[in-house]
Amino acid sequence: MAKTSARQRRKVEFNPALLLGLPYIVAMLVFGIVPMLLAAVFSISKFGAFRPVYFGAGLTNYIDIIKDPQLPISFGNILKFAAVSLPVNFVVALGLALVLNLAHDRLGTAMRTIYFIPGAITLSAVALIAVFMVDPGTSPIGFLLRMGGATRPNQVLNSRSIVIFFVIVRLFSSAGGWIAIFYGALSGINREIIEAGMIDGCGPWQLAYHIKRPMIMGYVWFMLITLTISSLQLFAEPFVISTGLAGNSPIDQYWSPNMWAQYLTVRNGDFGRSAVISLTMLLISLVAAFVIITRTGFFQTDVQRE
Amino acid sequence: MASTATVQSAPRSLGAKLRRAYARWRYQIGIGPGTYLARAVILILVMLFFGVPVLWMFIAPTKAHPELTSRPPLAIGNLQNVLDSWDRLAAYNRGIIFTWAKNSVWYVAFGLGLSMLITLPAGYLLAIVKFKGRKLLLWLTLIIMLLPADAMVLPMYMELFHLKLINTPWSVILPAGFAPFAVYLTFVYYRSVMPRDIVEAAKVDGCSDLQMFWYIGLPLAQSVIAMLLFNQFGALWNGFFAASLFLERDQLKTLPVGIAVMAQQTGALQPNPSAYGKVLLLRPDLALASVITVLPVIIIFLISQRLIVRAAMAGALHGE
Repeated sequence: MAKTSARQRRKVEFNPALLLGLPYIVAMLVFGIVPMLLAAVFSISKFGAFRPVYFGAGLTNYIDIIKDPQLPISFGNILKFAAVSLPVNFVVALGLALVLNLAHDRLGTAMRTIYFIPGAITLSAVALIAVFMVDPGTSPIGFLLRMGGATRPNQVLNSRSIVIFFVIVRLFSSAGGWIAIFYGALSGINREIIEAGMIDGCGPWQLAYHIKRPMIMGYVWFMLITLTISSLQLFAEPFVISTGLAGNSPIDQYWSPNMWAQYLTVRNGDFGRSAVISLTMLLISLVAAFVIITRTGFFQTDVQRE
Repeated sequence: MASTATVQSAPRSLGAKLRRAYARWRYQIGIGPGTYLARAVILILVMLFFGVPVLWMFIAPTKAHPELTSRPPLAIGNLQNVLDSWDRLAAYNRGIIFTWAKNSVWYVAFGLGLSMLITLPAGYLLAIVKFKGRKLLLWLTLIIMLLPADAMVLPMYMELFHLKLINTPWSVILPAGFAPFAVYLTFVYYRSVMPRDIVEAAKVDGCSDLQMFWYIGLPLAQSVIAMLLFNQFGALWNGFFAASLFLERDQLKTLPVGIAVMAQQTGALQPNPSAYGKVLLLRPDLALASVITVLPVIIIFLISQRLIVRAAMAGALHGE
């Protein structure tokens, strides 16, 4: 009897408004949770010429990937890229936001808009433009390249310069968005704090470095973590270079881990080893996302209010 | 008295006027002329890095292929060259660029529609209705939202492959419905526009949560819908990794993936393009294809930039 009344009470308590969230929960399961679980299952499954044997591979795929000589090459490429790209993007984005924020005028607004535009360009088009930009024959900076002794594109874009090339391409396409975010954050700093600094004798550059910079450190950490995980996912730019330049390309089609995993999946149907690579990348991103939420203070208030 | 009147009516000297104008300018700008000049020089030099390649992309289709090397890089050609490039693009693979453009438009339209249908009610629910599991749902939303979109592409490929959705438009449309960042933005929005006391007052008047969504939440949604459309449009239109992987058949591809296909099939990126491809595309043609692809997003981005600055100023990323 007591059980029945408890069940009835629960029935009465059901709120039909919960149905509002049902499509989202289904979408989250299908396109968020299940793919992650599937990648975990595939990483320990065997995929041969016949039917796949789920859970049949044990740790073989992991061992294969660890032993594969491509592993240090692909991950090494991407780590080199991240190691250079991260500080360059950070210094340029924060530095320019601070310089922009020194004054509020039309020049600043116009420049901010121009910096922002490359972020709207699809990465495949960015990669194409970048190839044209390093061709001494067509590039607007061709005279500089020729002064450096380059007469052909492959003297500029080659296996030695490729990481720097991708760093510059990524800076071109992503810095504008970060500049806009930092600029907005700087403009949101309380005017009274700035005026107190000025009364204490701070000049504009001192204000920028000693007062404004520390006040946007939350955004800085957010940028650094986000950039790190997005750097590790590099795909579009090297993919366009490797396929578009074909025989003349300075990189192969496994240059980055995502390209390698894509090759294993699509060309070889090797879901098992591909799952190991994508799962590794996913886990790194998950840890970074967790750190952003719990350590940087971003989004924290919303969860803690509950 | 008379002397005072004389002083007041006397015309100011040029020096005084200049000093006054300088003081007004200094007050408005907030920095001295030396700092202002240094700032202007830095900003303009950096502008060359961001602006010149984009400008080149728009100028390149106005030149014939040999003119790209024979004329100054930023010299403008003529309209006839643009029309010639257009003809070559239209002839390439029997006008497949139009199919790609049509695909891009309708994938994005369906994807946006689906994501709005799913996102608005979910964001409202998380912001207004208290229920068991709400905190978990918020946490999952935040974590998945912070994952780079590309991190999920390969695991999703494996799932879609087994659902036999690879090489169908649904492989890019259906995942667009799951937009945790849009849900988060909606959540933050409803929290700010529907304070607790309004919700409680509506409940006292006998309004159920569903009725509140219908009569208060949806009419209030106009501005958040605009924000979500700006936000999602660029991501969906420019999506490359997923579209290149999920849509293998040429007829199903989108414009951004199509550009890469053109570069690959025609050899236009090669130092000697005439050695490649049956239907020859040249560099100005690829530049024109890039312009066609990026123009809609540039327009949307220019509008949304103000939203991003305003959001960061208001601390929206904090959800405060």
